[in-house]
Amino acid sequence: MTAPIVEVTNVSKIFPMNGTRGRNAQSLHAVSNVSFSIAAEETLGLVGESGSGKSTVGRMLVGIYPATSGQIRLFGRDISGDAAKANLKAVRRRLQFVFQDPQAALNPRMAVGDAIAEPLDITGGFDRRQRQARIEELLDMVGLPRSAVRRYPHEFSGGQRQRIVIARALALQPDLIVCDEAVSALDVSMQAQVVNLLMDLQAQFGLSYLFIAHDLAVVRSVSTRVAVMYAGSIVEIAPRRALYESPSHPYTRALLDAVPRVRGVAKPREMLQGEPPSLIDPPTGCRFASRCPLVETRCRVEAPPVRTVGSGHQAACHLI
Amino acid sequence: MTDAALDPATVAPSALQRGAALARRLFRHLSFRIGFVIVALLVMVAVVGPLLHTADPTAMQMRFRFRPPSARFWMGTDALGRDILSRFVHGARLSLVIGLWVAILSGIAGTIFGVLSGYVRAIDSLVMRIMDALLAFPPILLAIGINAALGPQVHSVIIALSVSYIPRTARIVRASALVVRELDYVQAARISGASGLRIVLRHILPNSVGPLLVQLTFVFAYAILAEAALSFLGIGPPPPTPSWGNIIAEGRDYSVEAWWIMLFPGLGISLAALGMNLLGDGLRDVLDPRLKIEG
Amino acid sequence: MQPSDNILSIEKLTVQFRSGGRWITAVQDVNLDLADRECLGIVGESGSGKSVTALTVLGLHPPKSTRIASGRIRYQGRDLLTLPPRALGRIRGAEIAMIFQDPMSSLNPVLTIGDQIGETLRIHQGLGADDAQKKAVELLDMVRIPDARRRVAEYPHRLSGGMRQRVMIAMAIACRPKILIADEPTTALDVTVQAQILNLLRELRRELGMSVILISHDMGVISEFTDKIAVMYAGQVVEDAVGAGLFEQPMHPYTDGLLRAIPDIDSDTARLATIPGSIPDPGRPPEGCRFHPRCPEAVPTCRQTAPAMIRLSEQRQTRCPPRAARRSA
Repeated sequence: MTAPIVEVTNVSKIFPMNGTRGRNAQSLHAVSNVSFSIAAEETLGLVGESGSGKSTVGRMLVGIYPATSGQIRLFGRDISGDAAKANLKAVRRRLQFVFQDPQAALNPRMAVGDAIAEPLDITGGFDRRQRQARIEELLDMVGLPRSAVRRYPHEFSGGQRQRIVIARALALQPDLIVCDEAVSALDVSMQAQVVNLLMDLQAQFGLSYLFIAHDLAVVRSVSTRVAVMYAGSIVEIAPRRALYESPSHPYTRALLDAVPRVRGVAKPREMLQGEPPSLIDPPTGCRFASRCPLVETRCRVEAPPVRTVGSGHQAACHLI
Repeated sequence: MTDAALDPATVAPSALQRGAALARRLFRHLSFRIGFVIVALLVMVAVVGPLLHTADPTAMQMRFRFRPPSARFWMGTDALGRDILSRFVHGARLSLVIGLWVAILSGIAGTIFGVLSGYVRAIDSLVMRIMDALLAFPPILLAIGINAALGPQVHSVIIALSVSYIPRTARIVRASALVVRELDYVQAARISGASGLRIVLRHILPNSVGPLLVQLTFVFAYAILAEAALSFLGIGPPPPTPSWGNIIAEGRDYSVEAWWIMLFPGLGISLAALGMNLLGDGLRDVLDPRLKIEG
Repeated sequence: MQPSDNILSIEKLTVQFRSGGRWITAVQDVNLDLADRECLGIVGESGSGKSVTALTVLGLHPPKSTRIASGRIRYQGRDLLTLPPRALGRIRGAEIAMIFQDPMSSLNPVLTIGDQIGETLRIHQGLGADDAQKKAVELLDMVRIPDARRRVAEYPHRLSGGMRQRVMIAMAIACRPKILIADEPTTALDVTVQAQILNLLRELRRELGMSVILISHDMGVISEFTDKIAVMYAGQVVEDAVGAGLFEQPMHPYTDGLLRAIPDIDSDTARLATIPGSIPDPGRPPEGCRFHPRCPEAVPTCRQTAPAMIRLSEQRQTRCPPRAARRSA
């Protein structure tokens, strides 16, 4: 196996809170001590509930937010250290991002062709003909007619707009695309089309994805490996089959249990009570302790170590 | 949101067709239609009027002092026997020219300050405090000051009013810049390495144009009113240049006996302000992107 | 099934909206029955008309831009569509209550939780301020909000999404409604909180003997929660079924396609099945069957004749004649 293209080591992100200064200053511990890697042509699914920090992780990866501590290496370059700016610039062409809401991700006053060509225009070095040819090629790739070039985003449905956003992301032939809830805003029938498109593009161009989503079923269908986040930390990470078939963290188990099933009989489930802890003043021990059905005394005091439970399968829990 | 957009056979409408479609939507809007007719009429009066009605607006004919409206003098004459219609027409020209210039200048300056303050966060509070300070001055007072410094000329009036209205336009542009800079498409451009200038030119400005245009129609109307007020106070464009404001000022002493002197320029001012406001209301309704999405 | 069993019957309902100077049909020829203590699920994608149908029951559409082109909504022997506004107002919120997807926008940010629940009680039951407050605490207890006595004095922004939805439910059940309409009640919530809310609704339904109409785009939620299911597409009910038969053997190609397009959380799928194309423009629905342009099983008649609902059994109806014919063959 070649070196991973993404290596995230002990990364934390703390946001200062607005309106609090000096001694009363509060901060939001959005991401705490997160580590993972992504190999070439691999999809890492990142699941978690709202506020789990999964979206912040994705944004740190493309440089929207700098990490507060820890190291993020992309394609072997450190984008979190001293040379962050230069290194980020060097890898920028190879990175892209697909947003949740295709409506907000497209400038309503920019024609579709210009939107798709924006990364080309920013990078420069394409003449008119090359630019036009590339736009048409990209529209073909995502299954939109070439007549879309001069149209505006509001003329398209949600699913089509997400195709436009994907075409823009592909413009410079990136190696890594962060998909942040990329199909969550779409209806089921559109969602399946876009998921398949993403899979086809991966096979065709050898892309890697960080696929961030709250929908566990969608994540299972697209991912090679899956990481589960809770209250800013990764609680479990495993190859997809291992994670879904033999989850070892009590949170992962509860999360999988909570998803209503269409097929098969509803099994009596043990329901998780309460809600995630506040991240302004996160608990010292295990962050899941307040809701965990198996909680013990040490869970509330001591942060759980990361334990290996199988090949590529790790979980952070005292009870494993 | 139609399937037509997916059909390769249909051709995307050209910029001209899009413009025509926008115009059609505008003209379906009742208040835009009324505003447009009023403003168009005034513009016609101001542009074509002086050519058709050739009487010299400054020529005094003592024989014809205080003539009420008649077939010969449609709007009557003033204390010096000058033809009020002629003065009205030239005044309209002056009012519209001043309104237009004030809208253009305060629009440009307001856009610059608004974008700076909305996009370059470091100088936001500085720029906005300057704007607040400007806003604290009543426009008329500021105009009196600038007029005193530059002398009573049309230029000084335009500059004075433009400066007064910069905070209004700057606030509008800043507000859209603040919203747009956080939107995902701007983030997408940043991820691709877009410069601040590119983000401003390609994303922030195009999305501020709508609200700015609406604001400018109101600035236009304010400028006409303010010019009249300045002229009325005797610090507008110097006499004998006819302006609606100074016609009214000169007619003030005879308001009972020679009501026509004040009536017509007064109507002109009200109509111009009303027309521009209706136009602005219509523009706002039609350009509002929230409504546009459904179209 | 005798008509008298039904607490609510929607008959041949067609609802139109005014858009750009013309009337667009959002809901067409919808028939739905809700039996006493039953839970009816309406499932469909955006624009299917599922929410419009529910809002029509409560008369919540703006009258200027909406018209009921045809149909009746029978509730306890009366037609809700012809009821005078005052009489409808007495039923709405008291006998038929509703909860929505976004609890934040349904709550007034400047009033405490207690005030808002109390308001419903004062309007419909004429309680005084003290009694209303006491009753509000009871209701918060009923929706399992811990420490209700303290929470009653809090403002909505202090509560999490799940807690807000509980408050909305407390307001909805304040007058012991006979019918609760829940429009995507858990869509904005996380999956563990969704499970809590669905569980709460299940328990309250039993405790209060309510009938429930649950509207959702989520087949899983519908499947686990409801006794009877109607699938809507482009303003029409295309299939309905009592029990789980709909999921085991869908009788409409749209239902089939939708079920196949949902990724399975319990197995590794290589590739998702898709429904080609997209939802039709409500202003220009296709001729014939509304689903035919996207349907893999369409035959020539599907393009020409708009199909009616076909009754297959006591439990099942479909709007797909080819599938109905195949089944009876």
